[in-house]
Amino acid sequence: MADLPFLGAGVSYRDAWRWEVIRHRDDLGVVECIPDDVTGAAGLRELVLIRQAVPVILHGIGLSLGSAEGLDPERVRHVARVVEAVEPPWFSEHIAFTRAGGVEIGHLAPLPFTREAVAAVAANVRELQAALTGLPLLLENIAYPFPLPGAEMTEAGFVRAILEETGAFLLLDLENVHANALNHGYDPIDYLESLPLDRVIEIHLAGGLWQEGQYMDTHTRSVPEESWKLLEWLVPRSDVRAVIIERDDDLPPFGDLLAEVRRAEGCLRVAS
Amino acid sequence: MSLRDVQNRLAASLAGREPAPAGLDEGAVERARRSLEAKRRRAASHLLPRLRNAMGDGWLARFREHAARYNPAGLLHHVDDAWELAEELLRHPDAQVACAAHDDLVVLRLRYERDRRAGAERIRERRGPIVALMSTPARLLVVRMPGPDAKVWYLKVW
Repeated sequence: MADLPFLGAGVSYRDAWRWEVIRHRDDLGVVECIPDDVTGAAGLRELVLIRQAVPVILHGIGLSLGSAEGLDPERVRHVARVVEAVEPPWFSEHIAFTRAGGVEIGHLAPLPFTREAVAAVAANVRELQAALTGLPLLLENIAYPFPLPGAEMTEAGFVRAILEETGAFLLLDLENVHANALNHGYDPIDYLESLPLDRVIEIHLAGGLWQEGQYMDTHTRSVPEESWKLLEWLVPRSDVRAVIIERDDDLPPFGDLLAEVRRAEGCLRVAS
Repeated sequence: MSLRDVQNRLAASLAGREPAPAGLDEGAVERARRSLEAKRRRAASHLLPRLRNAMGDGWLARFREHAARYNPAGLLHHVDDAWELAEELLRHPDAQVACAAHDDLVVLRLRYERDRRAGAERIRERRGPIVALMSTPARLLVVRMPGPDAKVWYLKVW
C-alpha cells in the first residue's frame, strides 16, 4: 500500500471537458477515466494525451464483478488493453452486477449480503487480477435502491468480507454512503466505523437528488454538505491517495467543478 | 434460490419483462425500472436530438415501447440502444420522423461502427469511410475518409 502514489483531488473525465482538463492541469491532481468508453485507437490515444497532462486512474463500470455467471472474457481483455496503454497506478470497479441471463441492466445492481455472493465476487476478482498482472485493484461500494432478501451479514460486513477474501483495497464512495444512510435509515458514521478504513485508497464524491421519496445518486448536482462532512471525518482516519469529484449529467461550468476539487484538496492537506 | 437465479430474475424485472422476485419490495423495483428507463431515454435524447424533436410528445411512449422490446448490449450499450431505435424509425410513416432518424444515424455512423451480432465490442470506433446525404440543418453531403481520426467534410447541396 505504501507504494501507491498520493495523487490528490481531481475529476471524473468527460469528453466535453477535454480541453478544460488540459488547460487546468496544474489545478488537478488526477483524472479518472472509464475504460468502457474507449472503443478504439483514437480513444486510447486521447487517454494517453490526457495522461501526458495529468495522472490518470481507470475506473470500470461494466465488468459485473458480482455476476454468478462469471466475467465476460471480451470485457476483461478490453480493460487489460486500456490498462496496458495508460499504465495507471491502480484499477477500480464496483461491488455489483450489471448483467444476468442475457440482460444488460445499464446500471449497478446490488448483491445480496451472503457468503455465496462474497464467493462469486472473489472468484471474478481473482480472474481479473490475473488478467491485470499484479495491478492493485480497488472495489467500490454502491448505492442501492432496495436491499435483496436473504442477507447473512450487514452491508459493511459484506464489504469487509470481500476485501478480506480478495486482498483488494477500498474505493469508498461517500455519496453512496450518504444516499444509503438516508434511504435505509442508518447512521453513516456507524457504517464507516464498521469498514476497514486502513484499506481506503480513493474517495468518490458526487451530488444526487430526491426522486419519488428516495435520494438518488444521480451525479447531477454539486457535492452536498453531508458528504463533505463525511470526507472531513474520514480523511484523518485513513490513508486516502485520491479524491474524485464525479459528474455525469447537467455538466456545470468547469470552474464550479474546480472549486469542489480545491475544497477536497484542502481536506486532504489539513489531514496531512 | 441460488445467486444466479436471483440475478436473472432481478435483471429481467428491471428490464420490465418479469415481476419483481419474491421477497423484494415491488414498488421499489418498479421505481428502479422506471429510473433505468429514464436513464436510457436521456442518453437516447442526447444521441438522437433530431429524432427527439421530430417525435415531439410521441417520444416518451415510443421510447417506452422500444425499451420494453430491445435489450441493448455491449460496452457502449447506450449507443447500441439509440442506434437500434433510429434504425426502427427509418421506416416511420411520418416523413419528418424518418428523415430525422436517418440524419441522427448518419451522425452516429460518423463516429461509430456497429455489429449487432458482436458481444461487448458491438459498437466500435469508426475506421471505414462514409458518404451520406443529410437534410438537417441543411441539405448536406457528408464525406468521411477512412481511418481513425479521419477528416469529415460537410458539403452544402443546392
